[in-house]
This record gives sequence, C-alpha cells and structure tokens, in this order.
Amino acid sequence: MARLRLKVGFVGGYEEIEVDVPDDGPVPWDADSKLAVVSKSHPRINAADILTGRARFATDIKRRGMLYAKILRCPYGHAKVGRVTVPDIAGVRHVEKKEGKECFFAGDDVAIVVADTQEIAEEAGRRAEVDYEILPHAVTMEDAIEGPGVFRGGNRMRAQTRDEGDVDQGLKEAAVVLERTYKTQAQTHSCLEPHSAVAEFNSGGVTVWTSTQSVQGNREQITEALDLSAGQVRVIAEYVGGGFGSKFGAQSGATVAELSRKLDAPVKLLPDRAEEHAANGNRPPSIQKVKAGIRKDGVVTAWIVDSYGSGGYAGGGGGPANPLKYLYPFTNWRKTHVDVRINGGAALPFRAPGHPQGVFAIESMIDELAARVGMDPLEVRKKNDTSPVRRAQFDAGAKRIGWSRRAQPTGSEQGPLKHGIGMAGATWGGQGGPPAEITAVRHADGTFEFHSGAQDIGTGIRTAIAVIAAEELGVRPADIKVKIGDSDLPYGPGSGGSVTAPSVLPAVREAAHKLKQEIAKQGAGAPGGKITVTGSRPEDFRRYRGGVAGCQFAEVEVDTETGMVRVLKVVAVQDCGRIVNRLTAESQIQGGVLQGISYALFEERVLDRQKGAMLNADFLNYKILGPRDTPDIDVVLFEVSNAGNTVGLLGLGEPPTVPTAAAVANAVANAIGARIYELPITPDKVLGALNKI
Amino acid sequence: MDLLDLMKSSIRAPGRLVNLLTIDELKGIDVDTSGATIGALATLAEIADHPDLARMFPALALAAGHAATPQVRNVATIGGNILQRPRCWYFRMAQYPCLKKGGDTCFAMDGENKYHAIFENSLCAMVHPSNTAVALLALDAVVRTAGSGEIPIRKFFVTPDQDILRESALAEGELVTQLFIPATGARSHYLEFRERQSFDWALVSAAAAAELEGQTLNNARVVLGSVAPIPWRIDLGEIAATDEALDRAADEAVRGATPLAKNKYKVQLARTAIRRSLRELARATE
Ligand SMILES: Cc1cc2nc3c(=O)[nH]c(=O)nc-3n(C[C@H](O)[C@H](O)[C@H](O)COP(=O)(O)OP(=O)(O)OC[C@H]3O[C@@H](n4cnc5c(N)ncnc54)[C@H](O)[C@@H]3O)c2cc1C
Ligand code: SF4
Repeated sequence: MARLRLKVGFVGGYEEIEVDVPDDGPVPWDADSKLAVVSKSHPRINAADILTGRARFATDIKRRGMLYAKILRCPYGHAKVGRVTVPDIAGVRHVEKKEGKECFFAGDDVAIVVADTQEIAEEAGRRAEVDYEILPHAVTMEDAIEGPGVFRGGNRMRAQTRDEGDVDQGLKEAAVVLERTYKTQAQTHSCLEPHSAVAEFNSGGVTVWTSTQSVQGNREQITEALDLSAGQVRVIAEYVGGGFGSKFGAQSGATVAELSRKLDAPVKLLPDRAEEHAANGNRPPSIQKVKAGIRKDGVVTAWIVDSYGSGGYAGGGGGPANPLKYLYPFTNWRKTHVDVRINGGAALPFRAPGHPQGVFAIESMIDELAARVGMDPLEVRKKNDTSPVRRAQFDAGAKRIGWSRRAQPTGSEQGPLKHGIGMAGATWGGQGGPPAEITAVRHADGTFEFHSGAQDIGTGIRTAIAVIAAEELGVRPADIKVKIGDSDLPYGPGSGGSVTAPSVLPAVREAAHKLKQEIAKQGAGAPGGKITVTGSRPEDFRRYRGGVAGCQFAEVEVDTETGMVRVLKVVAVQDCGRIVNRLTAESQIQGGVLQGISYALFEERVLDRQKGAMLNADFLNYKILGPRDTPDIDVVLFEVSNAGNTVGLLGLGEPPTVPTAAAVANAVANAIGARIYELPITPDKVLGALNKI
Repeated sequence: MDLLDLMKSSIRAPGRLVNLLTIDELKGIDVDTSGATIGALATLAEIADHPDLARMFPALALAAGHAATPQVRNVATIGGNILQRPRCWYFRMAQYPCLKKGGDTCFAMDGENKYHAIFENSLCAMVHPSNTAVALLALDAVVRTAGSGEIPIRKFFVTPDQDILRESALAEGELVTQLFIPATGARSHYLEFRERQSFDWALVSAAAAAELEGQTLNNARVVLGSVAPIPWRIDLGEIAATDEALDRAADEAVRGATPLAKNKYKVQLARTAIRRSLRELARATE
C-alpha cells in the first residue's frame, strides 16, 4: 500500500486528506490532476446509431418464426376471475388462463394469448370474454385508511417509527410551531420503451432480449424462474429506452422465456401504454403530516412526521420521509410511517425513491417556518444544513437566479400575473463500490475494446467507459469500442441507486492501467499481439464527503385569474464528484429537472373510485410536460474533488430530480402568497388556494 | 384519427370504412368578399396557416392552431374535428357502459369530473371536444352537407337532452362537404386555458366576436368550449367595451353554472375567458 496526499473539496474550500492505495494501481485523480479527456464534453460514441435507428432495442427484435404474446388484464380494481373465453381466431397458438384468480388491481393479469402476429393476439384479447365477480376495492389512501378492509391482514400495515433526541423538549423551545399536511400523487415511470422482451430457446439454453436495467439480475431471475442453470441463460439489452427504476424485475423476460420453451418458438411480449401505466410501476403516493418548531434565530428545534405511502396492492409505500435525516441533521425528530395497501398497480423504485415526495414536504415546511420568524428561507437553510458543499451551492444558485428579485412580501406583485422564486436542497448517496469487472483488450491491429456487463439506460455509461479508458490510454474516446448490455460480459451492476458509473468506471481505470503496463512490457518495436486484461472495482478508500449535494432554484409565473403556472427558469446546482462527460452530465440534470417539473405540475395517475380502473392510462390524459412547458434550465455543475475511488466520481442519475418539485412549490407560494400542499399544482388547486372557487 | 382511437379502445367496431381523402371536391379553402368556404377535408394546419382566414376570421385560425400537436394538425380535418365523439374518459373505456353508450348511468356524476361540464350537465356531463366548433359557432358558420343541404351551426350540435346517443344533427350516413363563414366585418378572437402548454385539451376556451362602434361592441357573443356538451354560446348584444361592463357580463354569464364536485374552478376560468376574449376585441379598437 502507498500513502498519498490528495487535494479534495471545491473552489473556495479545498483541503488535503491522506489515503492508502495499492502500489500497483493507478494514482487517484484529485483536484490538481490535469486531465485531457475527462470532464470535457463528448457526444455519445453511439449517437449516430441511436439517431439513425440502427440501435436495436428489445422492442425492435424480430426472430424467424416469432410468436406474439398479449396479456389480458382485469378492468376492475378488485375482482375474482371466473370463466375466460378467448375466441377461436385463426392464428391464435396458445392461451393460458388464470380462472379463479383474485385480481387486486385494474391491470392485474387474467390470461395470456400467444398468436402469429401482434394484431391477432390483440384482436383475440379484445374479443375475449371474461366473467368477473366484482369485490370491494379502495383506490385512494384515504379510502383505504378510513374505509373497510379490502386486503386480508388489513389495508394498513404496521407503523414503523424512528426518532432521535427529544421532540417534546424541542417543541417547547420553539418560537413557532406549525402543523401541515402534504400530499403527493402517484407518478408512473412512463418509459418511452415499454417492458418488452423476446426469448428464443435452442439446444444450449435461452437468449432473452429485454428492456432491462439489469441484464445480470435478469439472468439470475430467469434462471431461477425456469429452473435452468446459469450457463443456459443469456440476457441482452444493448439499448434501453428508459428505466427510471422500473426495469429491474425479469417479469417480461421470464414470461416469454417460459412461453418460448413451451411452444418451441421465439416469443415476443410488447406491452402497450395502458399496461405500462397501470401495471408496470409507479412512484407511490404519499400523505405526510408534519409538525415542526423553529426558534427565532432560525434553528429548527423539532420535526415530527407521520406519513402514509401506498405501493399499491403489494404494499411497500417507500417512506417519503427518508431524506429527512440526511438533508437536515435535526437534533430532535421522529418519523412514523405506515404503508397502506390500495387496489392500484404495484410501486417500483422510481428515480430517487421517497425523495421528491419527502423533500416537497420538508422544504415547503422550511419556507413556511422561515416566513413565520421573518427570515430569508436561504438563511434558515444555512442555519440547519451542515453540508459545506450545499451551503456554497446556495450562494452560487442564489446569484444565478437573482434571489434578491423574489417577491417580498410574497404575493405582493400587482396585476393578475405574478412572479415568484423558490428553492430547495437535495441530497443523495451514489458512491457505488465493488463488485464490477471489466475486460480490456488491445487487438493486434492496435484498437481497444472494453467489456462490461452493465447496461446503458440512457445515461451514457457506454461513452463514459470510453472516456475513462481514453484518458488512461492517451487516445480519443472514439478509439475505444465498448461492449455492454449482455449478461455474458464481465459482471456489471444493475443501474440503480445512481451507482453504475461510480462502480464501473474505477474498474475501467484499473483495467486500462493494467493494459497500459502490459503494452509497455511488450516494448516498443514489438509487433504487438492481442492483449487481454481484467480490472476490478477496488474497495473505496477515504473520501472527502459521502453523498452528493445539490440545490435548485425555480422562477415561476402564475396567472391568478386562471391558476395556470409556468416555470420560467430553473437553476440546477449539482455536485457529482468528478465530472466524467460534461455533455451527458448536463443532459442528465436537465432530464431530472424536466421530470421534476412534470411531477410538480402535471403528472398524476387517476384511479376511478367506482370501478377502480386507471382513467388516464395514455399520454393524452396522463400529462407529461412538453416542449412549451420546458423552461430555461441553467445547469451549474458544481465539481467537487471527492476521492473515495481512483476517478473520484459519484452518481448523478437520481439527485437532480429530487428538489425540483419543492423548488417549484416554493416559487408558487412566493408568487401568489398562498401555498399549495398537494402535488401536482394544477389550476384548480391554485384557484382554490386563492379562494377563487 | 378520432375514429381510429375509438376503434383501438373497442368503443366502435365498424365493419367497413370509407376513405374520404380521395375526394378532391371536399378539399381546399376559398376566401372572397362574401366569406370563407372551407372544404370538410381542410386540415387544421391549413386553416391555422391561412393568411386570409387569419385576417378575416382570426378566431377560427387561432382555434385550429391551438388544437393538439403539429403532427395531429397536419392530418386532422375540420369535418372530423367537429364530429369527434366525447373525450370523456368513461366514454372511452369499455368497462364503463354509460348513458352515451346506451347504458343507464353517467359515471362522471359521482366520479372523476374535473374536466367535465359546468353547464347543461344534468344527464351527461361530457364536454364537446372540438376547438374549431367553438370558433365556428361564434362566427355563425353554416355546415353544408351532401344530404339536407345546409345546417346553421347553431342547430348542428345536439345536447344530451335532445339525443343522448349523438352530438350532432347530422343524419346517419350524411356527409359534411363544406363549412361556410359569412363575412360580416365582425372582429373575433379565440383563447384557451389548459393545464399544460404542449399537447393538451383546453380546460376552458372562448371564441368572442362582435362588430364595433366607438367604444361599444355590437352583437357581441362569446362561445365557451369545454364547459358543456355543446359549444356554449352566450349572446351579449350591445355592450360597452369597458372593464367594468365586461366583468359584469362575465359574472352574469356564469351565474347559471351548475358545477360538479371537482370542476368548480371551471366557473372562474369561464369568467376569465369571457372577460379576456372580449377585452381583446375592445383592445383591437384602439
Ligand atoms: C393527441 C390528440 C390531441 C388532440 N387535441 C385536440 C385539441 O386540443 N382540440 C381539438 O379540437 N381536437 C384535438 N384533437 C382532435 C383532432 O384535432 C382531430 O380533429 C380529430 O382527431 C378528428 O380528426 P380526423 O380528421 O382524423 O377525423 P376522423 O377520425 O376521420 O373523423 C371523426 C368522425 O367524423 C366523421 N367524419 C369525418 N369527416 C366527415 C365528413 N366530411 N362528413 C361526415 N362525417 C365525417 C368520421 O366518420 C368519424 O366518425 C386531438 C387529437 C389527438 C389524437
Ligand atoms: S359524461 Fe357523458 S360520456 Fe361521460 S360518463 Fe357521463 S354519460 Fe358517459
């Protein structure tokens, strides 16, 4: 082991730390490293393939003799399946029925039809007749909490409580105590590519092309589901049209693999948009009752949250108060969470699970407390937030948005159009770690190839691998061929928790470093045969700080006669440790902001209380922001030299969507002088808050 | 396109389809001093971009331009636009056999009715989905058909009370050939409020038209969209073009509203839409 001193921190706040690293590994980059390729902007190395349609997604896969599967789904919130009659149409090859099944949400599967074409499978599905015995349901959390039991074992699950300090004492010390209830809606992942899959069996086993964010996780799940051995299953996801957390499970892949084995033909499953919305995941809704106290000097003395969340019929409401503890390390706090089961599709992890909903409540409350003690909300945050990075970011962001322009007092602007500025902080882990393996090859012709079993769900990891390899080898990213998205490649993690890049890229550096050494050993002049080396993700060493810090400032315009809200500008200040590819880092943040605005203002799963169906399972009534709703986004990449691994990076996938909704809500409150406690912030709610209805 | 949507959601299953797009006589836009003659197959994009329409009948050009997305506007015809079936989500889902589909209940009454009607909503609370219908009614258009000849637009749209199964007076199999808008010299304007600025339906829209004389709007009328099962016309006659008078007229016009549990906010939107659209006509007088 070698002991090194590294310069860590950020402009205006550098320090040195000592770290111990292996003697033969690459020297960790720190704040003083001069890098030629890393941190610059690089177009995706496969951009041309994506733009020209050459890139093949699971949805594009066609195999000779392929059959098409269609899942029939229950149209009611809770029902028992009786007789299922599928019409005998030419081209229908196979039907599996789940007669007698108790369906717990509208979208639960009732039967599967396999046919020669997609059209025939759909036609048979449309014309199928199913008898249902309708059972009582509850599709809202309020109904489930207050109404009769729908689920065996009760609608409410056991309360989980955590606390620290003494909240009663904290409330006594407070100058102001407020109690508020915040509500957030269910948001569906709405990946452009559905959860598609194609499977083909042959003598050696099965190959599954599927839209997944974990090819190796899918291989394990499919192996187990079909009782095969690991060597018999290969999962490929060369390109993935979005995942956002909804594509870890191998349900689609396992379904087609099983059918393919049974029918001895390749089988494809292509869920439609309604199925995606109703059955393939969502961010769980929440109800958060917050009671908090603040001292006159802006120090928060107590924080109590009673929250409910609903992961649909399956439970798992995802604890919306999660970010509380590490955004503000309050001394006296208590959180109690109850998961509630409703007759809705199951929640799945969704970009920073629990965080946007939690931060909406936390940061809305902080703003209101600040107003009550007559303080600038930024100053109150600085009093309670101990992260030096975020505190520096507050100043950077305030300057960029023009914080001094905000309406004071709130809602004081004349005329029906009112402008406001608000902000919110965010935090996330994203450190990554072992295992991650890389195979690096230098071919005889001098070209390089890097292999990883990770997959690119749109974040640009493929290009990031090329960037790190190019830096280490002294070539250009375009000189590196990258193979990913295949479970036969060396181990790569599932794309979740924002850990893909911080897990994989130090392994890439390790492999590139070894390759360089091998090339040097061969010596100059030698013709150079093929060289293959492997690199592994080493354990973390000491780092500057755990986790990434960020904050966002939003400027909005509200029409107080119509309740229409427009976001004019967002300043997104974000740390991700070392920036690997500036271009994709910026676009990752822009995407997070857009998804956050969409959550703040538009998106909402609407379940009908009469029959339990999702009423807006399309892209017409399930509203996602469009080009005209897109504000000016000012991305401030706040680079922090963080150490911890040889590249010094942290994850960036999830954090930029965490604070957006809260920042928008605070901006709206600043504009109109009234607060909206429930997302999405639609005209009816704004007019309601203004007492205009 | 609406027809395809209905087929995809199993609401209609026609045995045979007739393609009208091959009939050239149904295409084109002609504007002369007597007015505008618009073929039933004219697309929303053609209408939105037509300079003479924009000059003489701005309400129609604006209404067409606000609908849907550029892609949709390029193929959506005005004939099809005024003949769209309800966008009510209960209507569009097979598991809800509502009154409009021959069933015996309206699911919107006690259901998710945020986007539903605030006028004429006691039987069926659908809102008429067409943008262009709102403008055509304000402009006193005439619907020309291959069957009965001419139907004044005021008689074209049918309330649920009149016939629960249809939204227009068109007979089964009757073809719309043209729309004619008489030139009257009236000024007109169209605006709409929506949740989202891209690709969204109006929460409330308004087309206003009036002739003007000094500070007075004559023969003033406002047609509201998305508030009733038909485009909802309010005749105001002669009205002073002052904020005060317009506000009073707007308040008066929404007094008879009968909002449902989740759409009270539409009353405020309607009030604002009336006021702003008329004010826009008055502004043009300066
Ligand atoms: C995503 C999306 C968003 C939309 N947003 C809006 C919006 O904001 N505002 C808006 O106004 N519209 C909107 N629309 C509707 C769109 O503008 C079209 O008007 C609508 O889809 C019908 O147009 P079409 O020409 O395809 O009609 P079709 O579907 O072809 O026809 C509709 C009906 O009218 C009948 N028909 C058509 N032409 C004639 C004729 N000449 N004579 C007799 N009968 C005829 C057809 O048989 C059919 O029953 C939207 C549509 C989509 C898909
Ligand atoms: S509003 Fe009309 S279309 Fe909608 S459910 Fe009621 S009856 Fe059916």
